[in-house]
Amino acid sequence: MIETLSDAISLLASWQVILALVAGSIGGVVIGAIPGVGPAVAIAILLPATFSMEPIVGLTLLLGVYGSSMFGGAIPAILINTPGTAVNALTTYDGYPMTQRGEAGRALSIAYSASFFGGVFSVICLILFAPVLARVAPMFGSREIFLAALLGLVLVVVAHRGQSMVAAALVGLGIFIQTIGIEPVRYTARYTFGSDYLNGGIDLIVAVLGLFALSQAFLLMNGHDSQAKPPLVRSNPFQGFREMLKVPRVAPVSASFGVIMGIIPGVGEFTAQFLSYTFAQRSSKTPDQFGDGAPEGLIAAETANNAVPAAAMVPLLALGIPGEALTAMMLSVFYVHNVIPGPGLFQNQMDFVVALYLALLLLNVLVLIFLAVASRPIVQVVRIPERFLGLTVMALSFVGIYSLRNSLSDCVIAALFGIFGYALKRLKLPIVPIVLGIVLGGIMEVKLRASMARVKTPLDFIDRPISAILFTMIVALLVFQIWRVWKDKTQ
Amino acid sequence: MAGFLKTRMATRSSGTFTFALLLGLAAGLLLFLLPSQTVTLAKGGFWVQPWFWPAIGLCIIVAGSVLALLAAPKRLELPPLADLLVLEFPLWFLAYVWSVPKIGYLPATLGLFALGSIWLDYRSRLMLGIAAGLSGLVVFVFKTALGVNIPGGALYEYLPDGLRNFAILHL
Repeated sequence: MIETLSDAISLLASWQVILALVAGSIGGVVIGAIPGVGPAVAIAILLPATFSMEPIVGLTLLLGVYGSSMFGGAIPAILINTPGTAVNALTTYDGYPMTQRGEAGRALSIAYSASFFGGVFSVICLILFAPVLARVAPMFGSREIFLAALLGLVLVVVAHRGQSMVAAALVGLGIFIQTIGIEPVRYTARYTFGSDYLNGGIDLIVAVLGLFALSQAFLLMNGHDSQAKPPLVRSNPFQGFREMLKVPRVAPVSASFGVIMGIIPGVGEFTAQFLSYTFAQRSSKTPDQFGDGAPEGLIAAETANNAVPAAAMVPLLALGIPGEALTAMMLSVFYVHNVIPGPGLFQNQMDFVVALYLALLLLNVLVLIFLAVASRPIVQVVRIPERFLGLTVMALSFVGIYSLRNSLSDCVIAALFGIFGYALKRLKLPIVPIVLGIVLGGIMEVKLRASMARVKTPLDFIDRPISAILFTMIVALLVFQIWRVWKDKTQ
Repeated sequence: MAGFLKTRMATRSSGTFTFALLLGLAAGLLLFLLPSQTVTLAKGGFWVQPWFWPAIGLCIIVAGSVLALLAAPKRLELPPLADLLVLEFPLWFLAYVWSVPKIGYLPATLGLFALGSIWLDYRSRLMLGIAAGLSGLVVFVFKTALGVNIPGGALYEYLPDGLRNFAILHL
């Protein structure tokens, strides 16, 4: 263990990793603080650039952006009632009323401390659970991985309450998109329409950059500048810890919700926040204050959403199954460098895994220190005109798409995805099901082929304990969803 | 909290019916093309057939779209003109992409930021200066510092020898 730890530290002790740590943490906060950008856009743009870096450098940069963006996203949510990232929406409920009462500094302190607690709690859970899951992982054969991926897709549909049918259709779209091209077993063409370009299939990066980054650029450029003027505040992030100690049950429970929702594929930050906020309100002595500037509400929201990123790495590292769209994008960094997630990673490259844990812990510390000294200037980023921001995002998106194959066709396809993503955003429909459909659909196709070779009857598919449990969960979720739709209709 | 849930759940956007209809029709058409766009193997169960997974995806799209159509308010609406105007921005993007291998990454990016700023009505000296600075920064970070794979412009061939190599590698 000591030897693994010292190997991990020497992996981290290179200037490239340190630079990635600093860039990821500071860049992530700034990106999160700018309304309309968000970690998905930034990760989609940076992803191809990380292919030429060492895997630990690339992953540190991307995870830094992902984890620290939610710290930054709380800033405009609290100061100008505009969430910096989509998952900071609930932060506005109690954060902005505190600003209106003249307590902006206090609200920011609480948000930073709660985010730090959620982030560190989540990393500790990653350290504890990932090796356990990796030990269980050899019991995951093709059938179990197929069913786990199917469970992820069912969960992403169920999680979009009120939109579940459209979410299902978009999952189907993702599954279909990943089949376009030459299929890998008999090398026959599927939906290529005789095109040489389509023979190579639709690259995940092209789809993701189009759906997330270009669509956002188009949305911003077609909108209006909001002329936001944030108040001048100073906050001490360490003061927020004292506030958290006054309500000691809220942060650990919220962080637990965040970890559980992060580990389960397809669920993510929104469900984690909803559950933790509901719990905090129901168990509070002053539930009426929620939505009107309750510190507990702020703690619940920020702790839960920051507890998700590291937890989402658990299924990715242990099984190679991404928990949500951003970790699905990061999976490509592993494959490009021939680092295959799964039990083999824990057996043969434990120093890499421990280095990742340490990097995630250090990121949270760096962000807190950065916010302690630079909170005031960061606040000013909310004044960047939105349409100019859209132009910048469009220019940056080009880098990610064109650098893959120097292909104009890739850019055309990305632009088409961008228009489609714009339409989804204007209709308030989700994009994540498409990405998960592409990634998990591909996994399911390969695993189904492998498992059916050994199955003689349908019951053979679920005759092992893990596959039986997964199948039961899928059926239970489907029954629950049908019941919920029927209940909503009759009410 | 009720407002948060409403924002997350209330999706009976008036365009959902139109969207679901178009998506369902497109999937139906692609399903109709399944026999011509995929191959059926002589041997093997349905799970090894090349058409199986495209069919699964398309059937899920059709089923989801039909159920969404049944649930959504029955209103066929075209997008407002303001939304159709967004179509100019993909053209800007593609013009930028087309111009990079022709005139070079830096000149093309400078052109995009300058013309884009003017078009979007950011015409003050400050904003144009920021646009110029930002274009230089983007090129420096991605091409020079990170070494991202963007080719040199054809226009650089006309530069003097020493400057040409530098421009192709770093600009």
